[in-house]
Amino acid sequence: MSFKKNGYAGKILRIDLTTSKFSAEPTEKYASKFLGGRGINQKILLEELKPEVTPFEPANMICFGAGALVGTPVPGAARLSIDSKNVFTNGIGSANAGGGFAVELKFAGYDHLIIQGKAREPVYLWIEDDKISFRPAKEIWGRRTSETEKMIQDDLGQKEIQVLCIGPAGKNITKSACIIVSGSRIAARCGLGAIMGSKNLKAIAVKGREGIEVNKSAEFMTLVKTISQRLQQVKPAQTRSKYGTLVVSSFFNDLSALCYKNFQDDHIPEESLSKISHETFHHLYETDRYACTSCPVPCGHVYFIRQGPYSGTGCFKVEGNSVWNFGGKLAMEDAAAILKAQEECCQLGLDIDNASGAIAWAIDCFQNGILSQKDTDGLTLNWGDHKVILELLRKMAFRDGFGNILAEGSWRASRMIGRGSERYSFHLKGQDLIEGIRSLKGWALGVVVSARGGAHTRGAPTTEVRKYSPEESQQLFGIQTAGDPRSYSGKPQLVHYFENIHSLLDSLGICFFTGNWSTPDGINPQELAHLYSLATGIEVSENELLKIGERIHNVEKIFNVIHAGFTRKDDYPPEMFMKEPVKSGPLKGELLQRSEWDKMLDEYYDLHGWDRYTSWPTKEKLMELDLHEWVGRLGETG
Amino acid sequence: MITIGNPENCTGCLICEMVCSFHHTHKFSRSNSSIHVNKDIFSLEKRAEIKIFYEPDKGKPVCDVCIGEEAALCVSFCPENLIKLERESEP
Repeated sequence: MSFKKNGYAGKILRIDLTTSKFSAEPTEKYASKFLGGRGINQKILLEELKPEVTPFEPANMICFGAGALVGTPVPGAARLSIDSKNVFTNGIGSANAGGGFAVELKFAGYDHLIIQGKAREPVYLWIEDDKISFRPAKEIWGRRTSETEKMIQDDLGQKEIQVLCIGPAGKNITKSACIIVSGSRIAARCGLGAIMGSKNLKAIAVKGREGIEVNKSAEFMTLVKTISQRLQQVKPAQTRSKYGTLVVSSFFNDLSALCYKNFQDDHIPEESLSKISHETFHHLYETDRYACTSCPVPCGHVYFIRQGPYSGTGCFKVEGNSVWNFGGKLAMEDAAAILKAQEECCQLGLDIDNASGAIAWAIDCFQNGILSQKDTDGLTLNWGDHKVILELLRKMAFRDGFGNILAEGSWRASRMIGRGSERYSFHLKGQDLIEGIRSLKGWALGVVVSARGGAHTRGAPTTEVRKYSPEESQQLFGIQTAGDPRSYSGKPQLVHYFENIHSLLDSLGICFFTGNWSTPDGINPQELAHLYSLATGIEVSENELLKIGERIHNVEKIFNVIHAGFTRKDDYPPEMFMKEPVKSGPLKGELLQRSEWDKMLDEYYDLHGWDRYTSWPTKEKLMELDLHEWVGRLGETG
Repeated sequence: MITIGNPENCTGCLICEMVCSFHHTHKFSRSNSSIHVNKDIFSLEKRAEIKIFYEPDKGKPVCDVCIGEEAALCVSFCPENLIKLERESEP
């Protein structure tokens, strides 16, 4: 592949924080087999990271990858994939964020940053085109994230730069620490903020003045315009422009697919949800909306609280998850309090999914007499008590008192406390579960088998939430039951398909919301192939691209086998979801049948060419995907 | 000339800058654009400033209303339809 006029910046920048040395290598080495973004990050981690390395030691690596189409006006092509070892599971740790950082990184000349080692003193990295500097970060080390970004701008004397940073939670190596990107976008889950903290790396700032060139530019621009204009007419995109992802809460609640009070139910009472609906946030608090670079769908919304106890709070990042976690899981029925809690998490650098999971476990334990005020530094833990929840978030971020236990996530916290508290921890592979999964069988499979440990960004299909009729399901996916939440049939095929789609989107750097995950009218794989071919000048077919997606998915699977030893037993939902049905909502009575789950797993592994007993990729599959160097390294089946 | 609607409706997607720089240099960038957007979501007011360079300034290329193109690219790509091409009105 010629590395001129091909959509790539062309270089991978490797940085060793221990020695303050850096070097560059060509992206070309990896591009044809792994595209970019998550694909190249994961390939480098699998190849270079020894399984014995633990997440917080200097030898661990953290990789920042802009997707292959980032830096062009392809709708939603602004995504940055951040990958390392998962602090909860020891398997893959992977998070993704929009904003403007990835675009600026490519304009500076780099597709990826690969960082290892540990700085002697806190530092931040400053990348200004080909000038790289390690700048002292003592003054900003413990600062909140907005203040950090402002201080870096002042330190460099430049306002128009892109910054990603950690907050106090990352500094204190709280496991639910996230990375705040471009001030308002969040790389959450897997504890990647804590990994930056463990490396004494507070932030990375970047400014790029070069540009990205594509190969067949006239055709590329025509296709981009066609897709962009179509996306703006798509209804899910229009509702996201108006309300952001807050709008999805009612869709999921209508299918009993949320978490209420630490999974006591999977349905938030209607009267409670009505107080924290997307309309409430929109009408009472919204002041502005914004888009990531290159995105015609502005799903970012700004909120401001003008009265009440949280008056004066601005909130720049609210998602459906904010309501799921604070409104549902912790039963906070107050929209202003949800905004306040969300903003505190952004400022402390805490990921709301994992932070709320640990707090929900603690409240449940307290309510059931397992924890008392002796454990909680004198606090009384009640559902929905936002003052106490805010205090717990602070304690967690600073590892203060009881917060030091919460900082480990619910699974480890429950093992530290014991006393039967383990039954109140709902996790997958050691990381807290976000949503209710008893109702939507396909969504559940995608969430549970996810290589990053829960979460719906590795294959969970949206077909059930979209409530496609059998006719629509057949027409769109060739699977009549795709839209039927109760049916187990055809769901492994859908998860397999969307896993490959997610791998591709994350590696090309395109948002799931402009891709065809959330709506079939999004950018489909045929268009992705066309865009990639026009950008690079190398013809790639839809099937060839999907095969690359499958390869990337398998690389993550191999990492999980080698680093975490996961097998089939790790692909089951928490026991309770197979015994206690959903208590309310339209899908009351639903649960996950073990025998049906077994059948889904068999079919899912067969589709992948993975061994049914171990769940590991077979030799034949590794050879087929040109991953032959891993043959014989996964034990008997590989 | 290029006219800008209410900047309060600008989402800060920077697509206009990308396509403008493409016109001038055949590369997508922020630095080689005749249009500059500054969207500050943290101001807590709807604040965006959009500036078009009609005179040489800090190395920015001067707007030529996309000479050689069928339509001005910033006009045809702006997803909010904020940027328009209009005849200057009589004084």
